[in-house]
This record gives sequence, C-alpha cells and structure tokens, in this order.
Amino acid sequence: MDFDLLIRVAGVGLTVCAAYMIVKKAGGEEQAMLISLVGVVMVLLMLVGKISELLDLIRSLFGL
Amino acid sequence: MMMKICGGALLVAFVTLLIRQLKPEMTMPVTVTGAVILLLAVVGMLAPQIEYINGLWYAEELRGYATPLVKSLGVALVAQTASDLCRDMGENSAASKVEFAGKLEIMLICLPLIDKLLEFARGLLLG
Repeated sequence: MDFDLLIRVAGVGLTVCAAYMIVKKAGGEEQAMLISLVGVVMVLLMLVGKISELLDLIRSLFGL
Repeated sequence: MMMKICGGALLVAFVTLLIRQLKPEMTMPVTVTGAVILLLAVVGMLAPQIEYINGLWYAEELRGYATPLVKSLGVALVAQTASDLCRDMGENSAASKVEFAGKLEIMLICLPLIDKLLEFARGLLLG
C-alpha cells in the first residue's frame, strides 16, 4: 500500500491553492481559474493509472 | 495490514479536511485518490479468501455455483465504489443509476442459477 500518491495529491492541492491566491491577488482572475482547473486535471491524470490497476486487479480476481 | 488501512483512512480524512478549508474544488481528487488506494489494499487482502472459495468447489458440476457468487461479489464491489464516489461528489442521480446497473448485472449473472432452481421446482411438481 503506497500513500505516496495521496501525499502527492495533497501537495498538488496546497500548491494550487497558494498559486491561486497569489495570481488572484495580482489581479489575474481568469489565470487563477485556469490554475485551479490545471490542478484538478493533473491529479486526475495521476489517478488514471491507479484506477486502471484497481479495475484490472478486480477483473482478474473475480473473473469478470 | 488492517492497522495500515485504518491509518490510511484516517490520513485520507485528515488530508480531505485540510484541503477543504483551503480549496473546496480540490477535495474531490483527494477523496477519489484515497478511495482507490484503500480499495487496492482491501482487494489485495481479499485475494486469498477468493482463492479458498474457488478451491472449495473442486468438482466440475459444482463450479457453476461458485462462479456466480464470486462474480456478483466483484460486481457489487465495483458498483458500490463507483456509486459512493458519485455520492461524495454530490451526484445522487448518477449514483443510483450505477447501483441499478450493478443490480441488473448481478441478476444477469444469477440467471442460470434461477433457471436451475425453477427446473428443480418443475421436476418436483410435475413428477
């Protein structure tokens, strides 16, 4: 069991939060919105491999 | 292993709480990550039991009873996880559709067994 991924996702979340605040304070509303969107997409890209691993495991274990 | 899973679940809850304070949109990815990691660990724990159940029905004619059981367990696990994730994101309607699809799939898997049961009942009634 590896919780590295969870820690990494939390790190991405915190970084995105900090960048969002800085860019918003500097007056870039649209860029701030894009930053939060990029954060979500990055995390989902990191997750896709894990989800496929999980589904493959379930498929092979239960013979689906 | 169980202790690890408990600690992991607490860690997921803690991180979700932390992120929710700062940026509520990022809560969803954290929750999904936690669910996937925990489920990977739990399913890894489940493998010896499934092999044991498969080994119990060693005779070929009894194997037809074991496979629907294990298959429906897998379908229930996947459908429950997907519907829980949908519910966490506030999509109750999608969650109930996924649950309904899971029920239908389990029904489809069990149809041969129902067929056998009805055949048995017919044999008893008609002679």
